[in-house]
Amino acid sequence: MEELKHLIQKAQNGDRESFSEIYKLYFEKIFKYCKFNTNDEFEAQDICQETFVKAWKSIKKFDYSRPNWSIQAFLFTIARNLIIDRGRRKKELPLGQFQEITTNEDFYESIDRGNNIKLIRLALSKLEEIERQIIILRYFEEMDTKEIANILEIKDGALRVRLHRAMEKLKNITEGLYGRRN
Amino acid sequence: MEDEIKKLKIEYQSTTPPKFLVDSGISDLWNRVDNQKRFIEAHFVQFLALGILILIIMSGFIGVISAQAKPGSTLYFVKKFTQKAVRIISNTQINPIKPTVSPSLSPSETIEEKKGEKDSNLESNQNRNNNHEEVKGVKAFENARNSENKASENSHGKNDNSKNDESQDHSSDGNTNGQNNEGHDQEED
Repeated sequence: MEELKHLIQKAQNGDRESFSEIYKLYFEKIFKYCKFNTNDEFEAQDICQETFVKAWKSIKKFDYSRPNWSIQAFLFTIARNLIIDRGRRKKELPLGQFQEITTNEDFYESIDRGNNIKLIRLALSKLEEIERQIIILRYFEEMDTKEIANILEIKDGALRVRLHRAMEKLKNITEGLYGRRN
Repeated sequence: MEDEIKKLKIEYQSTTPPKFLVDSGISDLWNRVDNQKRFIEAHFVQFLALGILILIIMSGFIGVISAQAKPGSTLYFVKKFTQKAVRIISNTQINPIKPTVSPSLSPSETIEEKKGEKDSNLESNQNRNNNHEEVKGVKAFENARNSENKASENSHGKNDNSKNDESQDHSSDGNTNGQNNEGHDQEED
């Protein structure tokens, strides 16, 4: 932890080597997040690199003393904003491509075989953007709720409520989709 | 439901970036940073020129709009408010009133200014004299008329009063003329 703090301080003073170390530490995490949100590997690569470029430019503004704030939260915030921007530019939701997982025969056949991951992905794509991010960051990235609240710029209490509602919604959507099949 | 989420989580976690990206990622990052920096440096003058151009166009546009503002409209109010704000900021007045300071209290003023002031004083004195003479003339005329009136008072009696009335109130001309006539009749009698 102290080592990371030292790296950040050095990067804030313009040391490229230190920032490269930070890049190595978080690159994979950011890539996964971008890939899951865009469902496009090339787009994910581009957003990931752009996230680090932006982070380098604004690393001086990074405040280590801020409660529940970390370099991870800082990078995820930038990545999320870039994903939203790209989505706006494309005039479609970033997860719009999830909607391409159409409910055709193959889709239902895979559900019948017990592969319900596609169903969950489809249900996730039907959630609001913020609800989707809460689930991704909480269950897939296993982040602390306070850290997620900082990334999404909402209060911790509100986040807990939204997480609960998002899970309820996801369950209903999944049941609805599965029920439509039967 | 939770099982599905766990499965999706495993799928999420198993995503790995392509190997070439891991290897060339850092150099690509610094290339991007340098390219963006170079781009800004190369186009700095153009950006500046564009900014100035936009400012000029905007100010011209605002000027044209505010010139067409009619009194009472919101735009007119905004225009006046802006003018006031600009005046307060620049601490100047559109029609500054020159302070009237006596020559003895202004040691910094030049001889020419003093001379000019003297000339203007002379002019104003002459004007005042002329005015005074005019007033004098009017008063003399009035005195003469009064004395004339007094003289005729003795001889005509009523007629004198009618003349005074005439000078005071023209609306009662009919009556006074009538009285005058009476007076004349009496004289004739």
